[in-house]
Amino acid sequence: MRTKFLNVLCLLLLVHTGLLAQSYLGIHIGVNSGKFSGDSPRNFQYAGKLQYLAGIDFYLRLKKDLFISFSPSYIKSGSKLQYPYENIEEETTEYRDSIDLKLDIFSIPIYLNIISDNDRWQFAGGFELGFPMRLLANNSAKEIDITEEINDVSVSMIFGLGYRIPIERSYLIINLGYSQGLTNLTNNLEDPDSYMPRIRFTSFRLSASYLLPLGKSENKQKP
Amino acid sequence: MKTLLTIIFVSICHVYTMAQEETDNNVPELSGHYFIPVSIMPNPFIKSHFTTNLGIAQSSEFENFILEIDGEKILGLKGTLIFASLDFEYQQKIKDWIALYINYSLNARLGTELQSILTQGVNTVGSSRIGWLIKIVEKERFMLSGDIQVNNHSATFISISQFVKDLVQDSVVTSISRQVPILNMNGGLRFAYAISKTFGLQAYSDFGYGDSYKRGVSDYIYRIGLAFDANLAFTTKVPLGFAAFFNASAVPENVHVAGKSATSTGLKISYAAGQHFNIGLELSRVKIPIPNVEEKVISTLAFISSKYYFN
Repeated sequence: MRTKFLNVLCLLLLVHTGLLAQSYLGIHIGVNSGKFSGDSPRNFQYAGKLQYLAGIDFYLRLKKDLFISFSPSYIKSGSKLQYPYENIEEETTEYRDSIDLKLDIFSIPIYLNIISDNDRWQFAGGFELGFPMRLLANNSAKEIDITEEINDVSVSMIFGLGYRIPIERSYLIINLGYSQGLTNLTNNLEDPDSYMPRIRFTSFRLSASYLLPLGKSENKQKP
Repeated sequence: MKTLLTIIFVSICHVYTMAQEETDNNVPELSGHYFIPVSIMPNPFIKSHFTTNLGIAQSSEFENFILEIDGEKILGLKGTLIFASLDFEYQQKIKDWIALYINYSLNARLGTELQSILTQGVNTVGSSRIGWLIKIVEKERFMLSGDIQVNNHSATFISISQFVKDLVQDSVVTSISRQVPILNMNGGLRFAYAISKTFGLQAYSDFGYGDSYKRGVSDYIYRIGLAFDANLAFTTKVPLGFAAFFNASAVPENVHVAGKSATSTGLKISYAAGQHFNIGLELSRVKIPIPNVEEKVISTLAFISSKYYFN
């Protein structure tokens, strides 16, 4: 009861101080090139897998040129495992896609966004809490669920660069981001003989966000 | 008349150059002292810059024990190692208080004779880093910044002795080359202090945690360093700067033995009159631990380092 009361009080204070009027709410959608990095099964190598992501954005202004943002997202991603094939005639080795690893993650990234002086560019940095939901491995013959092999939570460090296009009071932002997994994705770290003892998830993301301001415009608020 | 015009032209050029010197000098400065950068010492200044470092070192002769019976090491092979290092860094100033930097380095270590190739192999470590540099405090004479970075290393070990051991002693499926990717994260403080217009002091410390080369084992890493520099370019007619530095490091791109650290002491001479760049030669004495050798190996390292400042 007391916690609820405090939450309501905080929300009222937030509205009262005009913070919501300095904030933006929006959506984002984009493509995601994910890749596992780290130990791979013997002779295999990891390759990128292009998928998509979508979510909502909440930008809270801390200073004139500084925002903190929360962007809960659903990320469909994964990686490819490639195996070397010897081409005897040409005496070359080429890696071909052998196994497709499909990973679904619900992520909650928290960014600090720094806006450039001309209000066009934004640099973002922060951490991402990821909740892997499903990991499937399939080849041309069959698909197996290996979700039990992965941890429930992963932590990543994220870096981003965005270009801001003002549209009246709203913004369209084109974002380029890089996420580097810090924690091990698989849950068999203590077993060095495991076929994949140490794996991180990395991804490059290109997305577009459309942000709408919350509250009345500053001009209208002036008496 | 001709002489008068020449004097006026030269005077204008001189005044213009002086004005540029006062306003366009991008080299990090505090209280009139322009700091001499040292390759292994990250500095606290929020500036855009591009850095390259190229280094090579040769170790003194060491004895490598490869056979142990009843705790007694009985067979030793003598040899030397060569170390090579190439390093690029770009830092982008975003605001007066924050900068983003990316770095890529390639470090190689290889035996120079058959016996050292046999015992130490050929090792390369490619490292990429990305991080933030944030100004904490800046006063007239000193500046303190903090950094946080994530490091991705990819090490390739070619080891004949390990291959033979795996095959003969342990009877496991093995390969002569092994690729070990590791990741760690570190953060720390960078400090600069202008003692006078000529002399300055720089220091840094980084601590972190992450993977080691041994699977299933994580390790702490650290780097600390101190440099004392003298820049004569802006107080005398000598366009040179000097620096003396000390560094201790347990980062995996330099040290391949868990729980041990490398130390280096050195001197730098550089051309320091440039308004946008600094180029110099560093010579240092490095004590570095290497696998299967009890004492740290002493190496002499030569570095050519250059730094170009944009703003």
